Amino acid sequence: MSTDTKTNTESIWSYSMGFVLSICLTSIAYLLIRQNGHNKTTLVWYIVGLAMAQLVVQLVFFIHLGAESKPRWNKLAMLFMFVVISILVFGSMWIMNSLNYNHPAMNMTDGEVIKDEIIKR
Amino acid sequence: MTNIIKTEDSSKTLLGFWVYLMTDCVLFASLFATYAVLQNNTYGGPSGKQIFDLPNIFIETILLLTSSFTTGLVMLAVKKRNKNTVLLWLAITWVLGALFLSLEISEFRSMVLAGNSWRSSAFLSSFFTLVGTHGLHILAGLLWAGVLAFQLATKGFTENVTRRLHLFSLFWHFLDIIWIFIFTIVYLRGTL
Repeated sequence: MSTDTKTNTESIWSYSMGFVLSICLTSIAYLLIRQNGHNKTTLVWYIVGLAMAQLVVQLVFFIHLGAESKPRWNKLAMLFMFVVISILVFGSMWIMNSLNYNHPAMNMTDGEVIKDEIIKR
Repeated sequence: MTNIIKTEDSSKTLLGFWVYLMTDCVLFASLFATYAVLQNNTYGGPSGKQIFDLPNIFIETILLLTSSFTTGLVMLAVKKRNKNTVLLWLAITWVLGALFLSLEISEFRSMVLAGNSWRSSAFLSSFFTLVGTHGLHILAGLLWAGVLAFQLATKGFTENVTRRLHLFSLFWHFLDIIWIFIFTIVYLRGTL
């Protein structure tokens, strides 16, 4: 019976909708970067936001994650994956970007920390 | 009764494949993390801004996106048990994927010929590892699609072939999602 409920979502409409939305989101991100009108940090937030939006679009319209019947093991596995990825990616960046603080003392890294913390010598 | 057992088997396979995709995601996440950490370590060599050819990458993205869409059309035709339509859309998906891969290979080739190989800097090592791993997945997907087309042509819509087509569509959509993030984080962010 679960296949019957899926028929409603896996339609030509759903795939076309996902396709058009994805093309739009990709093009917007591309044009934003080509025009380069905003400052760098804002642009990075924009394109990451657009990528996230496209992730949701493709999960809903291409992979039909919403059509899964209970118990939703697929969603649960994905949720766990997101947790692992966040720890992995942001953890790595956090640790590596603060390496200067945890290095054995070298003149250069000392200088970086002094500059970062605005220590007066 | 046998039908019930079979569909249960099939849904277990589907879940198992989904779990594989999630672990593959973690593999890509670690490569993304490596890239994020190393992207500024160019060792005096060129940065992404100097070597990325964004219009070319945009075309690649559109090709892969379209092939993800045609995979959806494959699945619609599978549901209608329309063999020729399935083969047609599968062939189009294959061609689009192959075009994507050949564009990527020519991009890599020109980069290496210009002296910017993976040996030049930490940035380029992580770049080639991340994008190359995705390319290898695409290659595997192309081989898979070829085998599936052959199996469908010879065996028709058996339980196994239908299930494999379903798994393949998941795999291909998944690779497209990974590419969006490569496009955004490596190429778009890199050209800023």
